Amino acid sequence: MQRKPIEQRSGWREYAESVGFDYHTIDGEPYWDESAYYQFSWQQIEAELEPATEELHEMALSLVPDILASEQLLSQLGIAASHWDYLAASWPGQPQLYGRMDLCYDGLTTPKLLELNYDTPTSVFESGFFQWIWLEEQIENGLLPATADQFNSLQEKLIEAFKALALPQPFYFSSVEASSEDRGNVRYLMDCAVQAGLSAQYIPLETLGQRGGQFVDVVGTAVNGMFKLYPWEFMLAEEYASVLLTSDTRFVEPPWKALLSNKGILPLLWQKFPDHPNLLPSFFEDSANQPLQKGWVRKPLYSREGANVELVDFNGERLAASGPYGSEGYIRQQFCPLPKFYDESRQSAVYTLVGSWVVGDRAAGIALREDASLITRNSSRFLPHIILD
Amino acid sequence: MTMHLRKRSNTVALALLMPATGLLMTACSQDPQTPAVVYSSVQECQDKNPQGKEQCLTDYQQAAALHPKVAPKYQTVQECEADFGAQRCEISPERQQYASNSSGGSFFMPMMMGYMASQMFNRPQVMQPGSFSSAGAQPRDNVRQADNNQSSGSTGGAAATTMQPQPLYKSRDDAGTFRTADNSAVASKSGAVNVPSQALSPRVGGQRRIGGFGATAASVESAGG
Repeated sequence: MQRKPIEQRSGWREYAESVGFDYHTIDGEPYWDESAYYQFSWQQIEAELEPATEELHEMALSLVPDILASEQLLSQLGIAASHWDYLAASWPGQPQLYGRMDLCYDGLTTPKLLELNYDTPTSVFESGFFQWIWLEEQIENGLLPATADQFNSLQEKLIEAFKALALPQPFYFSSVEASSEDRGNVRYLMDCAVQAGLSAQYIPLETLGQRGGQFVDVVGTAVNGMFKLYPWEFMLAEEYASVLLTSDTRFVEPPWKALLSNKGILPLLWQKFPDHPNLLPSFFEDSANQPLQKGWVRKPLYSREGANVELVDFNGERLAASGPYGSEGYIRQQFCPLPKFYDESRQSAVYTLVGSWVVGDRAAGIALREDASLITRNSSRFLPHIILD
Repeated sequence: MTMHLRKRSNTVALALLMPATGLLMTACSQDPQTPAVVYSSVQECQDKNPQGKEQCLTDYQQAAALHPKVAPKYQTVQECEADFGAQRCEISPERQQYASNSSGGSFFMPMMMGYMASQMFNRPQVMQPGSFSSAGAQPRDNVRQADNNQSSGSTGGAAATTMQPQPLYKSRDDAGTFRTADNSAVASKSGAVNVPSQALSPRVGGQRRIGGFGATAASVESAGG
């Protein structure tokens, strides 16, 4: 795993905008960053990242029936009793479309699971499409050898998955309208669905309606199937939570994903698979817990994009990210320092996170995010990667 | 050197390069499509079909009679205008029927913005494969061309398809699109269209409420992660 500078493609911004990737720059700072790329060996991909991803995925899914069968665990994860049957009814008949897990991996030691983004994973367009195009063009430009490959079968597998899921049509795709990043992600998934032969329609989540206990669209047509880039824990707490129980709507991701989007899954994994080489020791925080010790990280049960994460590194240095989460409780996870690289163009150190995609039940590729901070945020830069020995 | 199976997609492509908002996208569909024609007014129909003025009027009247029966109903004009736009709603004449089983008062419904009828005028027109083969021509344009050319008197043997004329509406957030009462999008402009089978028979739109999801999003930049 190496970080290598490379010349940027001329006109990539115009191209990005022409394909709807209008969030390549966020608040004046680059989000898509092709001033460098990461290079992995075949061994790192095929002997480490790919099998670790599929094994962790299998372990996570193995917890779902355990949790659904335990009122104590459902309560511990903050699922209201009124929705237990609703979640259980979706398992195992409604398989997942996709998920992304974030790994702490330096190319040398075994990848460790930092967390699962299994309900509303984003960066799917830049992973599946834009970095693929980047590699093809850089090979064409002669800047990368033709033997270079990429761990990225995301688009192919998404199209296959949409074919296999047997979804109602027209199938709706929804996100919060105000977020162009969310819309971009949804638009790409919708594109894959259309390529899989589905009729697809976008609906801003805020305009979803209900009539007689059935979800309906903007002029009243029943919504029988909908992808939602919106967390299950929000949906289960908002006004329409009760409509979920009566509406004949197939959701993607399915309701049981509410269990895996909760950071409580990390201590539960550690309980079920203690000392597994791909897991970090993790525990639920309770009132008896001491202040955060050296080498530990504290994460809210519900948190996205690094919000409300606090860590104390091995030297006792404390780092915290602000955010709106935390009222539901916290977990603690052993600190795994992200690998540190040197960014020559910015003359600064960067920390790099490996996001690893799962589509259906297969590892489908990786997404690299780097940041000046050890806590990876929404604004962390996305860099492309290659495989080359 | 070890041979490895390729780890990236063989191809990637985008089928759609459009903004997602208000978009209806349909893959090459096997659903049977029925030709129909959309007019924004009876005048438009008569202007385009000088030989069929009577039929235009009959179709329009049938659609207009259906309008209060199938249009979606709202308890307040604000709710109706939220979906269909300012000044685009009217009081439903069927208030009595609805009022009897609710708290009473008027009901509101969107105004009829057009209607859809069977393509009576170009029934004789036979579309020959390849007869509109110019590069880039869209099927929709081809059909409209046939519609406009009907006065040239060409005749053929295509079987007539009859359908009940029905009213069409336009939503506030997608004001370019004609929709049926139960919200099937059927056309982006007046003229000839191919209509999916489920939109052929008029169906009743209903009352609804919106906005029960999305409130928590106000506190986060992105709902994804």
